[in-house]
Amino acid sequence: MKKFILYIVPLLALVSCKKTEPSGPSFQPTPYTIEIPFRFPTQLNIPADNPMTVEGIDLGRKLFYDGRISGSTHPDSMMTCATCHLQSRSFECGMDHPKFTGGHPFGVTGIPTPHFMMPMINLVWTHTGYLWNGRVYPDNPASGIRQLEDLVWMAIVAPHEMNSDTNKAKALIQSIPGYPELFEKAFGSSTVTAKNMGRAIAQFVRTLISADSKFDHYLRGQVQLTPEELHGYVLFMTEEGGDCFHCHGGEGNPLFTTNLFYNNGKDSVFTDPRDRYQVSGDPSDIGAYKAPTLRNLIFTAPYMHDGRFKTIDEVLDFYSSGLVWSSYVNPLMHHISTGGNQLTADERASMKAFLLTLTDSAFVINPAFAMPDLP
Amino acid sequence: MIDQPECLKFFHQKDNFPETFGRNAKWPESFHNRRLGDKSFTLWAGHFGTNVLNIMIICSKKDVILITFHTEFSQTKHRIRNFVVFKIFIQSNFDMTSLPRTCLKIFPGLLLIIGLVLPGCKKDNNEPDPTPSFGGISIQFNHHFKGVPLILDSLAWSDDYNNSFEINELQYFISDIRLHLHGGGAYQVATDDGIHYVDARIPESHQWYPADQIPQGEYDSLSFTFGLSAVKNLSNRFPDPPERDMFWPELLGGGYHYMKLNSKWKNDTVPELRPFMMHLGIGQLYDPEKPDSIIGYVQNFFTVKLDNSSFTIEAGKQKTLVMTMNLEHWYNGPPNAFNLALMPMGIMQNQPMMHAVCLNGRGVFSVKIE
Repeated sequence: MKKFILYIVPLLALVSCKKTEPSGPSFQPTPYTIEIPFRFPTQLNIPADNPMTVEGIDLGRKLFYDGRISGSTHPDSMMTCATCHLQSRSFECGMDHPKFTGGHPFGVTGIPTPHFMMPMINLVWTHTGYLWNGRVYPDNPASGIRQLEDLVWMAIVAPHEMNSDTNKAKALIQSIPGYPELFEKAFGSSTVTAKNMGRAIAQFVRTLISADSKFDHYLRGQVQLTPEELHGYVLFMTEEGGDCFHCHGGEGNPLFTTNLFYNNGKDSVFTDPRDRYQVSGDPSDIGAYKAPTLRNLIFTAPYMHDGRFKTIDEVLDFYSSGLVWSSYVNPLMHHISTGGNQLTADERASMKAFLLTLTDSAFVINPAFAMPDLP
Repeated sequence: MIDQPECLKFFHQKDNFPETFGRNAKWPESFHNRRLGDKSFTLWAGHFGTNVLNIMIICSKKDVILITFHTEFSQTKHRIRNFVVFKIFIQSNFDMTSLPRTCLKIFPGLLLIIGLVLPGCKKDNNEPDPTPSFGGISIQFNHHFKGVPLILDSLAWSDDYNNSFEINELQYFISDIRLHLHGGGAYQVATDDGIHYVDARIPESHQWYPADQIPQGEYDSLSFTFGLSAVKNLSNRFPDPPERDMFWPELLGGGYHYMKLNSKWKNDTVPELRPFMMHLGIGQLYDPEKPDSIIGYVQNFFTVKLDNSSFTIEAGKQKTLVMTMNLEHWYNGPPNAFNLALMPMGIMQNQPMMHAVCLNGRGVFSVKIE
């Protein structure tokens, strides 16, 4: 047993080592290591050409909050990531956004986004493509629509977002004292490029990790759930209960999403040109969208890709008795023939109590994610 | 004090769990009690098979330290050489700060076991081993329905009761593939801890190239575990997808689905496609007087033995084992023919139904050697 301990101690020490060496004498960004939370996946989606660095994250955080990234200095046409992605709403806009009534964002020209917002937390574990239909994925034949990085230029040019162009954006950022130095530190060149803007913001977004909810404490054996929360947890995790876990995970998948795509029985007629089918071409994906994480649900109303449900109660009512049959409904929605899982009012209340244990209140006030001083 | 989750990372990542417990290993009650949170200290000497010796200590507070000894064998051309493997596994939630105290508690039992095991170990004789000669294997997984390659999402199949259906998802584990030597003995594939995951939608998963060096010789048959044996079916052993998404809820027994076979069916009287989820994993026993109370768990994994599968491994050469899952057997048996119209929509909380499906599963596979 002594030998065992002798072997283990140095091994543990090795496991905890981090890379520290700089890559060169003039350009020496500081490597940043993502600490994987308890039971979270080990495979991170970090492109080889955009390694995480302290300087890159710092720059990305500034750009994330800087409205001038839209290439404009006029208050009416300035827009940035943080215009819609509010930390206080777990980086969605929330129902009570002062500008986007009901939680539906629109761009600088007033055009609403095709879909409502989806969670922007724990994206470093997303391997199935970004957005509700996963159209930003590594094997995409369209070369500029493959990574989290690409969502930055897409947001700059999209009519329903910044409605700008990347030349304007990078020229304006280049002209702001302080930014060229930050680009130099992060990427070894003071020349602002759209690619490096995307890289920096993507690095920052990959740090938006939410893993400190009451349920996380429960998994770590630090707290106990209340009887009502436990009841909801049982319903969540059982096929004959709510049967949520097949798509939304649980103790075996604490992301609380598989990041896969499902037709969950909301409709019988499908006309959305941006469903999963439009990406995969597979008819079984008609009307399918990515299952979003359930973490921080309390902050992220409205729900579903089209924001049709304004409250958690409405969502639970839908899954209980509001399912709509179509031949495209995913077979995991096995309660479809009875219209839903038929949870009673008490059971739905318990389920809601459990879902609220996924709230990470510290995340929404974490100063590391807040608006920094801008150049 | 060491931060508990941090210190446990090592063990999760190492996944250092014994590979073999023998097909007939019987698990002590205390193992099941662990799931029920019972506090127990058990010294247990288990199955003594012809090739495998299992001895296990379970020392439990919140969880277990599990120490195993088992014999493994290396197969050379002419003989089997036994040796003893000693492994320690510390299960999750174990408080590392209590390790020294726990070691003291189990130390007498440990001495006893060492006393039992070591005298039985013989050193090899001094003859030099003949040069071992090895070949390799690759395994290909095919999926057919009545001899026709499976097409997902196609309403092309039917059960014995004329319900037509489509298959939408097929995901499963096989493990502990054993190649049975002519004249006795077996070689067990060890690559990836002997576990392979197959997903009908992931073509890469249909091929497995174990790194094992297979001793040359004549083999009569092969067998494997469908799903994961109790020893290997550990919760949280797969943190990443796609295997991760096979997890089986802890309160239903934990570990992983052995299989997800999702389909939708219809017939003349039910024209709307209805889901049927054939999910297999650890079953539950429910208290008949309190239907929501689980009073025990059932390990539903089973061994598939393919007798007509003799083949020769030649030194330096590769054999391909083409394993075909004949899906109609899941639905039509023998021994059980299911009428999808009468089946529940899901069976993972229905142990009698899971058992019936598992009986069909024993005849699902066929193998061809190339």
